[in-house]
Amino acid sequence: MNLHTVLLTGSLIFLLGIYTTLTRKNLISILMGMELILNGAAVQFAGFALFNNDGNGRVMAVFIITIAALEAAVILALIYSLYRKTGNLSSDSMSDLKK
Amino acid sequence: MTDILFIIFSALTVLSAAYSAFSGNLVRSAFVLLLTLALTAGIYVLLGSDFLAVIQLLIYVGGILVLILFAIMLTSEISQKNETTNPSRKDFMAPLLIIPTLIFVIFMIFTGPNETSFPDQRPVTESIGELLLTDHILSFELVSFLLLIGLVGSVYIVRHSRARNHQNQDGAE
Repeated sequence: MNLHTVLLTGSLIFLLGIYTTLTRKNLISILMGMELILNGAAVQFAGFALFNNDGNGRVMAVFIITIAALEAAVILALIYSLYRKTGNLSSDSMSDLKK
Repeated sequence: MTDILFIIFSALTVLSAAYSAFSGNLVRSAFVLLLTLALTAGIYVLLGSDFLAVIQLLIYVGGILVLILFAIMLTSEISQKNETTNPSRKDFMAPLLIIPTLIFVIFMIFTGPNETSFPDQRPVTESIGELLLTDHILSFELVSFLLLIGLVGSVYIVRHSRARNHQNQDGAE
């Protein structure tokens, strides 16, 4: 185990999350992609914290997990109101929420 | 021993994340995401961050993923295909962005400094708590305030849309 393996793992998870977020139409899929992105970043922070023997990276990972939970709550509220209004979850119909 | 375990864990994590990203079935994708997040908790354990592993399991696996599955069940999107964006327009755009970024990231990682020796692993909860309340006290307060705003905001979004729907129905009648 060295820093390169940890960073590679984190970046691969991060890029797969970006791919999901860019290619999906369904809002729930986009939410799952964002969770992957945040997870990849948190893994890299934890890796740097271990190999630099510095606790600050772990604190950042705690912040990331908090913000991921917050983001999931807000997006699920949007999903709920979008589904009530239009009956589907396509990101194309997000602009209908303004009406 | 730790090396082999770490390689197994990270390979499984990346593979399950890839399955979740490329799968055509929304429910299957969500359940594989469960595996990804649980395996990430294993990675945290191997990285010596026991506290992070526990909150990963509590918040991600126990909270967020259950909410996602609940949303899938609630909106009855199970039977629908996991649609991608319009293929004629955007299907090549995402790989066009991802592949150069991947090459750049791999280049940056392997030309950067490598650390192989790491200190003995001790419990980290105490140091996280101390840093949160000394060096990062402002960020800590800001994040807790943001959490409050997010909670109020999501309740507002849901109630607002519900009230509006009622109004529209009354107008239609």
